[in-house]
Amino acid sequence: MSTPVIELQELRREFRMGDEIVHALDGASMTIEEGEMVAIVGRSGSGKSTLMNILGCLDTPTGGRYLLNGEDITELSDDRLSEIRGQYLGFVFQNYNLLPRVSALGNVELALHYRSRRKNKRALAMEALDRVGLAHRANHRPPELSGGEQQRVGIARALVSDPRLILADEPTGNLDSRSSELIMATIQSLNREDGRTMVIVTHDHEVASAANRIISLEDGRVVDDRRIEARTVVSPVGPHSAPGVATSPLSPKAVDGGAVRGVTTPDPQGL
Amino acid sequence: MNPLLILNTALSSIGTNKLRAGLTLLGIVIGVAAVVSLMAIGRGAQETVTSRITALGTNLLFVRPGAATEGGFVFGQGTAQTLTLKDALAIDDRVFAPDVVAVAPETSTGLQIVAGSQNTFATTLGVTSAWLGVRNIELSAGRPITPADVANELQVVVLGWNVAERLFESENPIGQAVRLDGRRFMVIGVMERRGGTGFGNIDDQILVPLTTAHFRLNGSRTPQGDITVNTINVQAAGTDSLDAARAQVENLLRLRHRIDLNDDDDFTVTNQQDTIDTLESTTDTFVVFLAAVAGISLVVGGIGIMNIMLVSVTERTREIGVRRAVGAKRRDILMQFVTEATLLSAAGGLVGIALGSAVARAIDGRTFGSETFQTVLNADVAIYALAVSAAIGLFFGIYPAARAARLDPIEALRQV
Ligand SMILES: Nc1ncnc2c1ncn2[C@@H]1O[C@H](COP(=O)(O)OP(=O)(O)O)[C@@H](O)[C@H]1O
Ligand SMILES: [Mg+2]
Repeated sequence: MSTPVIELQELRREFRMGDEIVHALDGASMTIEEGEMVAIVGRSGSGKSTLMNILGCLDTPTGGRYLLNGEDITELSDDRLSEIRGQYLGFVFQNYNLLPRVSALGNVELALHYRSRRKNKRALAMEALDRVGLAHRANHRPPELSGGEQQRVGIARALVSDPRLILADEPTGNLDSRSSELIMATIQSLNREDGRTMVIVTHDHEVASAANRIISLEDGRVVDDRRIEARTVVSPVGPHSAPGVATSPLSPKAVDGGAVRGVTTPDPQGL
Repeated sequence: MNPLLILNTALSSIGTNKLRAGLTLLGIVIGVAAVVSLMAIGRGAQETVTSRITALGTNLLFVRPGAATEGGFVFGQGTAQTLTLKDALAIDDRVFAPDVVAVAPETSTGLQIVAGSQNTFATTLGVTSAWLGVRNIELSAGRPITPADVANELQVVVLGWNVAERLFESENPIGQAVRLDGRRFMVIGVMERRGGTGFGNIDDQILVPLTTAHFRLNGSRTPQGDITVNTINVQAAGTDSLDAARAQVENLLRLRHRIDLNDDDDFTVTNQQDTIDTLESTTDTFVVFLAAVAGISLVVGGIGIMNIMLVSVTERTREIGVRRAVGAKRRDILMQFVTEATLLSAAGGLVGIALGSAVARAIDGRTFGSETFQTVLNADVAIYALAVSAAIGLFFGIYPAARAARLDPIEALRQV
């Protein structure tokens, strides 16, 4: 069987707060295969964000091992980690983290900025915006967009570099339930249609139910890890949806309810 | 990473806050404008002096009493009393000095000159008939000093342009009487106007026969009874024979003055080029000094750049976080901010060059007080100013950029 995308062995992350040592991650282990869509749940302070930062190569563990595509990232230089972030990873943030003075298109294009010898970056960025149904908003700046639209720009930015793994830390945390569903439909399509591996941190059971696996954290440890039948998210149609893409913010192929194209469905029993 | 991309990013970041960028640039703009305009004024002054000296002719040698000090020309020369009229006559020798074409000795003294109710102060040169020709000066009116004037110690005078104007205004001075040191002299000629101010300006001088100056004004003699002169103007056959003429003059004078092989000369021979070189190095020093003063304002401008870049780094912490998350390496961030600072500063430099050039052009040819400013704008100053302002941006941008590059991406992304 192929190398897992993510393999964590007894992962630890400690923070020193004055004299005290906070164990944000206290021996977390898990294996995530290519094409999985995983929801990570847990109370506030249970270590979800810390875990995501390490998965995203923004932070390194203080103990244990993290193998990304079989490569031990604890050994790698800062430059190499930056390269990995640019090539293999996409991030979606709770607070969107868009540059306020740059257009939606410019924000998406930014994710291709540090990749060398890529031509037609603008066209790729436009394609990604189109994928999330925001092509008509390409020249708008973030403050002119609704929260849901901003997050879709954020998703376009995460997907434009064609990463195999996308990490989303509470992507719907700032959104109402309607926008939330739209975002989850988009995220689910990235998994089901493109076969990308998705890891989503969430509080929300509705959101978590869109995944096919739910991992629960408590005090920096994995306390539950179970596979579920993923709920197929139907993107809501209404005033929030963009005109012209009224039936779906996604590409037309999303409408058929998540048929997987050209990607083998991950086999949960194969683990 | 592609340098064009870095430039593009830097430009769009600067473009998002134009007012602030503009205000930040003011320090650099003013500094560069000051450097450019001061350099133009300095160069202009240099050019004025140089052209005045060159106008005298480049085939001239000046023999002055007193030893040369290290580095050649010294303004104190001419005060010693070792050069005599006989020396001048001896140099004017086609056998021992075949490359010398003409010799014009000159004495010099400052005198009050009075005409009716007008009076002025003028440097009075005692000269022979050869003098005007050697110094390449024409008359605008009247006649020159002749050998007969010299032989008969006649009390005649040729006025410089300014002197004539001060004493006679629009009246014709030729044939008029003036008083020099209480004695009556007749004006026989007026020299052409040479223009310019200061330094040995011929327009402010007057000429009398050398013998008259010696016997009737304030002559001085050596203990041996020879008439002393202040300068012997020597005209060589051409610029090419200048060095030969110089050697001949020096040999003759060393013989006459009984100077041993190992002893120092008691006279100094200079030519126009020496004088130009000395003056240029003097004005160069002055220009460099001016530029250094202006440079201080550039440093102040640089600190302004550093300040604004630090603010910018703080404001854009989240942007830095996002860039790091999408694959920017530390050095990409460093490059971005250094480029921004450099571009910002160079842009200020460009505006400063434009402003400084405009100021220099506005000053050119204008008279302030008694000085007429001539300014000279050179491309090299502009290029230098641009390079310096870019370098200042680079230097003062490094620290803020290093701070930006050091930011922890997680901390940066957490920023509200
Ligand atoms: N940079 C840090 N410094 C100190 N403590 C931290 C830091 N980041 C996280 N923590 C602590 O680690 C624990 C887990 O935090 P986090 O991963 O943010 O939890 P979650 O995202 O699940 O709410 C918390 O107790 C938090 O206070
Ligand atoms: Mg969190």
